[in-house]
Amino acid sequence: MIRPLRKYHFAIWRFLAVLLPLVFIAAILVRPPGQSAHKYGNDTFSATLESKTDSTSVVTINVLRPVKTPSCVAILSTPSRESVLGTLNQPGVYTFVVPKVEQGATLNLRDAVRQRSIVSIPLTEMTNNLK
Amino acid sequence: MSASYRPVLWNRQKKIYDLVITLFVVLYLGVFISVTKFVNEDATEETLIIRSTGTLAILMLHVILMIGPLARLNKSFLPLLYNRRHFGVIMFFIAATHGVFSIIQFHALGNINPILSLFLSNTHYNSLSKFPFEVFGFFALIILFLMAATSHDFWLHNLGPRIWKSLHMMVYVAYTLLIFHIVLGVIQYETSPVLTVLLGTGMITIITLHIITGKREHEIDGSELEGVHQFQKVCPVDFIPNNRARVVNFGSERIAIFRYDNKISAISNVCKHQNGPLGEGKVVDGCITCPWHGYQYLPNNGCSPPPFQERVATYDVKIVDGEVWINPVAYPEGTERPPAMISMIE
Repeated sequence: MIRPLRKYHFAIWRFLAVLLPLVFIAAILVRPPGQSAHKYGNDTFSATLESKTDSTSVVTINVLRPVKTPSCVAILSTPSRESVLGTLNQPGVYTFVVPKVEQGATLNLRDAVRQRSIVSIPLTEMTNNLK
Repeated sequence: MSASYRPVLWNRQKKIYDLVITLFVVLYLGVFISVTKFVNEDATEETLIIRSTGTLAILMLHVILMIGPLARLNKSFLPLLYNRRHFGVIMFFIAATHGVFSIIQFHALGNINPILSLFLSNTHYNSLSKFPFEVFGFFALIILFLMAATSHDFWLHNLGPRIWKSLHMMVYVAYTLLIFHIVLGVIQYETSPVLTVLLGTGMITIITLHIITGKREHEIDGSELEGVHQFQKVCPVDFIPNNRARVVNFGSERIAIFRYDNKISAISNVCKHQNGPLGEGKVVDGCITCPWHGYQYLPNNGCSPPPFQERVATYDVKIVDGEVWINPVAYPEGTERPPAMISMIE
C-alpha cells in the first residue's frame, strides 16, 4: 500500500477497534431476557388468554423469534367452533379480541402452505400458560 | 502478471488454492446441515440453507480479513494472499445465497415488493434490540457485490491501483455492517452462547491483527531518514540478506534496497499491480518478485521483463566502507541505474 492508504487503513481500524466492541456489548445488553415459552423448532411463541368483558376475551400471542414458515396462521379452537385469528409473519405481540372463550380452548398454529400443524397450545383463562 | 486480459489466468497454485476453498465450502455445508438436521429435525430446507450459508460467509470473511495482517507478520502466510480475490468472490456467492434465500423465505410471499418488504416489514428503527437487522445485511451484500464485480485485473488497470484499492477497502464497511447484522439479528434471539463467543473472538482477533500491523507500519513511516537531495547512509551491506531487501522511508514513499548477485540496487517499494510491498518480496530468477501476486521487475531499471510493461522508479545507490548509501531522488520509472558492486569494494 502507498502511504495515504496505510494512514487511512490504520485510522479505520483504530475507529473500528472502539466501535465494534461497543456495538457488540450494547447488543448483548439489550437482548430480551430469556422467557419461559413454548418452543417449536427454532421458533418461540408465548401466549396469554384474558377476559376483557363479560362477552369477550383477549388472546395475546408473543412471537419471540422470526417465524420459520411464511404462512403461519393462528386458529383458536374451542369444543364448539374454530376461528381463524390471523397470520403471524414476524416477531412481535399479536392481540386478538374474541368472543368469550370457555374452558378447553386451544390455540393452533398452522403452516397454511404445507397444511400441517406447527404447534397446539392449550389455553387456560387468566393464566400464562403455554408450556 | 499478464500482457492481456483473460477471465482467469489459471496456474497450478491457483487451481490448488481454489480446490482447497471449494472442498472446505462443501465440507462445511455438509457438516453444518447434517448436524443441524440431527439436532433439530423440524428445521426446513430453507432454514438450513440460510443458516449454513450465513455462518459460512461470515467465517470466510473473517479468514479473508486475517490474511493481510498475518502475511505481514509472518511470510509463511503469503501463499494465502496470492489468490485472495478468488476467496473473496466465492465468499460473495455464499453470502448472496444467504441473502437471496432469506428474502424469498421472509419477504417474497407477501403482496409487496420483497426488497421494499425488507425495509418496511419491521419499522422498529428506533429500537436497538428490535432493529431491522436485515437492512445491514442488504447493504453489506451490495458492497460485496461491487467488490466481486470489480475484482478482475481489468478493473484494477482501468481504475488505477489507488482507486481500486480504496474501493476494496470498503470491505471494512461491509464487515462493520455484517457485525451489526449479526449482533442485532440472530444474537438477539439465540439462546446458546456459542455463536456470540465465536463472533466476539473472531472480531477481537481481526481488530488486534490489524492494529498490530497498522502500528508497525505507522512506526516505519515515522522513522523517516533526513535529507532528501543527497546521499544518505542506510545500513551496512551485511544487514541486507542476499536476494532480499531493506526498506527505508524517504519523503512520501518507501524505497526497497535489494542485494543480489553481489550487487545493490534500489527501486520504489510500491508494486504497480496492487501497490504491494516489493521490499517484502525477493529476487527470483534475477527479478524482484512482489510477494502479493508475483509481479516482477528488473532490479537495475525497475522494468518488468518483456512482454510486460510495468515500471517503477529507480534510485542511485553506492557502497562506502561497507555501508550502503542511497540518493532518495527518484529517477523516472524504468530508468536504468547501475547497481553498486559489492565484490569490487570488498
